[in-house]
Amino acid sequence: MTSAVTVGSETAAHWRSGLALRTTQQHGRMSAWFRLTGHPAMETRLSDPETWLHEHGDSLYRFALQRTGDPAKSEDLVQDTLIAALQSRDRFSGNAQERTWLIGILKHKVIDHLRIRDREVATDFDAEPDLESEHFNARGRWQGTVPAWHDPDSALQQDAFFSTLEQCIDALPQRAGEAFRLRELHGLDTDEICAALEIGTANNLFVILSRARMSLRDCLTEHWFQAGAQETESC
Amino acid sequence: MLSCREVSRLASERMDRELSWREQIAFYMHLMMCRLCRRYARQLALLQRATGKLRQRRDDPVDWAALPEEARERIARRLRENSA
Repeated sequence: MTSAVTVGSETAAHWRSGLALRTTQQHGRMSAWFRLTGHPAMETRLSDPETWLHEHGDSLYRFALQRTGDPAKSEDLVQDTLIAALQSRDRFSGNAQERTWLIGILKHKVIDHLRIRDREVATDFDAEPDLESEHFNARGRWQGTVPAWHDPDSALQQDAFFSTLEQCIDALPQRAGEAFRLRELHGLDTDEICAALEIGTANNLFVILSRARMSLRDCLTEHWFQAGAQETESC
Repeated sequence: MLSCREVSRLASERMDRELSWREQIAFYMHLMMCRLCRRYARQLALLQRATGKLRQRRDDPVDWAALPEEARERIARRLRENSA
């Protein structure tokens, strides 16, 4: 207890002398002074690994679970992250928050995991049907019509609609499904998805996502909205 | 003047990146004149809303999830082994 108080007043004294230096405009000398004394307030100290587990374990677990949907794998990812953090603790930049630093490591682990999972079930992207050619004529205009959706707001109130939506997502071509899930269900940004799925350019990802949305629209039209097509059109 | 095919692409891309003002003007100009593209863009927006709700339904349990106790102990053990 006593030692903590002593450290506290020493810190205050350091700050006072630091402020005194600043007022005399001797910035160069001040930073040299901070370097020499290693002022504790200038950098965040890392706590020990078991404290990481105690304080950030749940947040890391949720982060992994939201992206992988796999509880056991998420536990492994948290463990791998903390061990990697332990091994690279020297590289922790004092400017970062401890949790942000840990999440940053976890993010890479999650991407690696998704990448491996994706490779295990890889299919040929080029073999997927070109939906756009089905929907547009040579001049780029809609071929036929765009069927209307009947009463979409009430659809959003029904459990059955969400099962249909899930089935439609599951029915997407493999790569499009992965990209769409990562984007809309796991909230990854486009850079992260390109890294996880090894998509060369952002533009390729935009094309994949556009096709995914188009085929989901077709699927919902066929399996949900067509039932009410005879009634009044609203969307 | 953009084709419907290009507009369908922008209707999706605006959910993934910020469109330039040039693209936005061309996009909305086209929508003003094209009923089918208007419908398509609205349906994609609804799809996004629906997926957002689906995500909420799935995330609700995730928001309350906690690292199970036995996993916590196992990880603590591994950390001790690794720091020794």
